[in-house]
Amino acid sequence: MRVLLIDDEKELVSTLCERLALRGIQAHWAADGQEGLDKAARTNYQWAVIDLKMPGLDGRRVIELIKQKQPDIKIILVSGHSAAGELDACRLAGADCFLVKPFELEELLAKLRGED
Amino acid sequence: MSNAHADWQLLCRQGLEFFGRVTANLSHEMKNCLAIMNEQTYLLKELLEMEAQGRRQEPGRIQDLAGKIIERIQETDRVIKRLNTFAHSADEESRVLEAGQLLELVAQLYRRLAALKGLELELETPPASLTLTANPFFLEAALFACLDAVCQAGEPGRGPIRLWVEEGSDEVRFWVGGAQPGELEPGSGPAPGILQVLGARLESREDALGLELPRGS
Repeated sequence: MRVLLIDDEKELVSTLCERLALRGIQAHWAADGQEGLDKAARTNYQWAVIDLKMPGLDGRRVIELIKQKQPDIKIILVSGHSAAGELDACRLAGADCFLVKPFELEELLAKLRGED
Repeated sequence: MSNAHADWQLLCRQGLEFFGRVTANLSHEMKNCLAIMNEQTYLLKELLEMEAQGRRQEPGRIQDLAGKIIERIQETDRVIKRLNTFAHSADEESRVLEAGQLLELVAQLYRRLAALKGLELELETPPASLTLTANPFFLEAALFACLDAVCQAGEPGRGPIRLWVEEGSDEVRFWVGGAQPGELEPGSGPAPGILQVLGARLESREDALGLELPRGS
């Protein structure tokens, strides 16, 4: 399984990638939306885990752009809070599911495995 | 309802909006720190478990990770101290304030929001001797609104948003600049009621917003 994590918190995504790699998942990270789109254009990912609030392109815009190029990619949107309106807006933008920070790796793994 | 009562209600609402915006922002910063510490601590645990099973880790990897966790704890502590200082700014209606300290606090409160726009803040700290007597909470609200107005007009790559203070004989002027000429939204900046409480006047240069206040007794 190939997963792309996009979050401006470099320490967070790099650590998550390392933990996913320990579990045999090929995980790459990008520190902003544009870098994420560039990586997604070069590699065929099954999943993208995208932070909602980032400088430059925000999570919603990244989802729209990534889905235009890779309609089959599944998206997990990550946010610091879980306002209902925000969740609806993210679903409309094309996110398949949602995680609220801080989340446990097991929650992310369950979503990647389609168990949740 | 009397005009005075309506004005008071409006001021309370504006104050509460500012309080909510700042605390939401700080709680977001804390959540980010916690999320990072959470991942790093679990990774540390997993690497130690592997080491215990005889799978040697890269030299220095565990110390490096522990060092990063300590840095994040210290960062979280700074955010909490900032929140505490901000919360206590509503304790008194008026007190003697160091202009530099106040400007630094407001810059710290706003820094993440500026970063989300891809903007950097640059502070010119005035001497500690530059003080004024004012309502700390509403002065923070007014400076935050100035900063917000300039940052809304700012674009990444055009240099930092600057904050500085000018000292007059009987007044202090706080300035926030960096937006390009003509880009500030008309009417942006602090609400009139907040300016009134502070006895402050809003000044506008082509690339900056300023707040002039009497230094007080």
